Amino acid sequence: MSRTVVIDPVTRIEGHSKITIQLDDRGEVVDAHFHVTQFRGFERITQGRPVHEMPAIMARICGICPVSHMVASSKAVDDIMAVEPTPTGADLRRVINLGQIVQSNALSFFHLSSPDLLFGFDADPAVRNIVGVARANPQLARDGIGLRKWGQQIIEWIAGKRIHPEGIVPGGVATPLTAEVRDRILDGVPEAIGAVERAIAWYKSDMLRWEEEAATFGNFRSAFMGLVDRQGNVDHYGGWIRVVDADGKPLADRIDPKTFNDYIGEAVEPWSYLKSPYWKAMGYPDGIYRVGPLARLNVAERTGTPRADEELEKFRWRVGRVAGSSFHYHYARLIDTLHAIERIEELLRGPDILSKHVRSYAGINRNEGIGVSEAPRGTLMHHYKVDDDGIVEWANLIIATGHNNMAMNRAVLQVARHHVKGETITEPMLNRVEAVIRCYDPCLSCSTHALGQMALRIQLLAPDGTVLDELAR
Amino acid sequence: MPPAPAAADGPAARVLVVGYGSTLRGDDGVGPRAAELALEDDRLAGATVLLRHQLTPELAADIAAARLVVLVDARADAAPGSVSVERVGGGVAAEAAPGRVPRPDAGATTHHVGAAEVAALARDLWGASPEVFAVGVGATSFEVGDGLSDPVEHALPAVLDAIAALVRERGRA
Repeated sequence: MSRTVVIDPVTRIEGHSKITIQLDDRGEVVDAHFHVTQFRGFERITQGRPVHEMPAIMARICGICPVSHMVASSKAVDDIMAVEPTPTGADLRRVINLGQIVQSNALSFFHLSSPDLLFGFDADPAVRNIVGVARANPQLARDGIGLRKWGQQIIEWIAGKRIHPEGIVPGGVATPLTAEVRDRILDGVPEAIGAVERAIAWYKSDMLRWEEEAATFGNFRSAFMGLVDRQGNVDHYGGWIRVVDADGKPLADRIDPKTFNDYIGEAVEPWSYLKSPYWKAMGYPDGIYRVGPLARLNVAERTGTPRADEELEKFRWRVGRVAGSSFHYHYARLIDTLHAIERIEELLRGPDILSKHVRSYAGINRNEGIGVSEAPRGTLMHHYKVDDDGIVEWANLIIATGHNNMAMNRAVLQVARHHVKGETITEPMLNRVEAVIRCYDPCLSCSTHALGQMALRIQLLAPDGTVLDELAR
Repeated sequence: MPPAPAAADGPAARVLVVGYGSTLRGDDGVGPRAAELALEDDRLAGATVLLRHQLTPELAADIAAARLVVLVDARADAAPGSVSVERVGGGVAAEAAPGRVPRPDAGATTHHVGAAEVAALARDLWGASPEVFAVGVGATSFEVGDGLSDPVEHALPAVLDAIAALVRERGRA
């Protein structure tokens, strides 16, 4: 059945995004904005729908990480039903979510960022892409593709094969795991670990080349947020919210994720459809924090799996206990991936993973529910309100890319200040602005629901708003 | 080693059909809808059919295992309901120009890659150059909504006919 909702102003959907850099009278950079002019309508289009449909609808926000939305959405509906998933149901959700982390992290590192790292930020873009990587370092390209496929196969084999999986449902998962599927996934573990460990070794061997970028790519003091388990280790599915400051000192710990509204505010700026979440205690805009792989490592005591913990120790030896440069998202993303693979293996070797009890059932027992999990790019929050019949009346999503919005703006400003000389935009500057945004791996289709691809356009503005220069790619 | 082909027999053995697009953006969902129909079409029995939100690099592994690849997508630049078939990569042409690196049609932050890129990846990583065709369907609306417009809905039989014709003419070449 066709259902169309008209959202104003739809004409801005195709606007995608742009970056503006503001100069003062002396020609110095005073501000920079990463404008997201795409519009996300999911909070609106879900109003009036039965809440049990939410996981399947929310999965359609994004073709890259639909599972993350299904997990957070299902947890929100669990809350509305006042029900706990069965232990096996929760573990299978964890496995699927970790499969999502693996495949999405692989896309970010191997396909989007490795061209910069392999060829250098100023290499010709005609070569500096995944096809160029396939030519120059085919093992790296094959490893990336292999990890992506393995992660996606986990999702498809457990949660369903279509574009947007349907296996994660309120109360748990739709079907039990079979021994055959478990073993098929486990068979791929050694190769997956090999692929990511090769990438870590390659990255570490090349790190010294990027000292300048590490110093100037979003290298600033901010808070970090992520989920941790009882031991304070990384938890991609549940646990508590922990927030630490730039020195690693806890700003808040063991926060029940369902109370996130007490701590996080959302500011709206006229120049972007992407909201700017902030840490309420520090106010806006001072309450800047970062989420995602780097934040997960910064807030946690350890990852909780042996190989990843070994690499985490080396990571902290190299970049400090709390890494402040956004450039280190790349390194952190690889360790996050290694941990996810190890954790998948642990969960699949659990004694009850083949249990038939994978779903709890209940009706509408609350009029409000919140679900929080870790998506590849960071903490993901779904918050719904329903009427007594379970019809959605209101929904709000805080997406990882949104949490990082202020940080991305700060990073672009830092790069601009470092590279803008005079009244023209140079290619090196354009290349580095692209690259610093890629560190965060923003998913604008998630954060705004984009249609199609996003080109990058940068404008250099005089104090009166006159466009002095413009470059597009 | 490229992955093993998913299907070993049938009239469309080693044919890969990928329908892609957003099923919540009106006519952008025509690719996945056509792919759903392809799964039930006897003329395409044995083909590997994938429904995707967008093209991503790992499709190169599936392309490498195929002999013929058909990508189905909506087109904003064609008459509503029109169906076009265009060769976008692979085959002898690709082998004749091994130095060509397609420039990505992706921006700084997008996770999307183009058809030519995934075909080039299959060639460079696994030495596979199956013929790759794009079947485009002229769209009317990309507004938020989970249904197709009438012109696009009515074009679906022609889309399936176009895929079947490619399989008939090229699948066993």
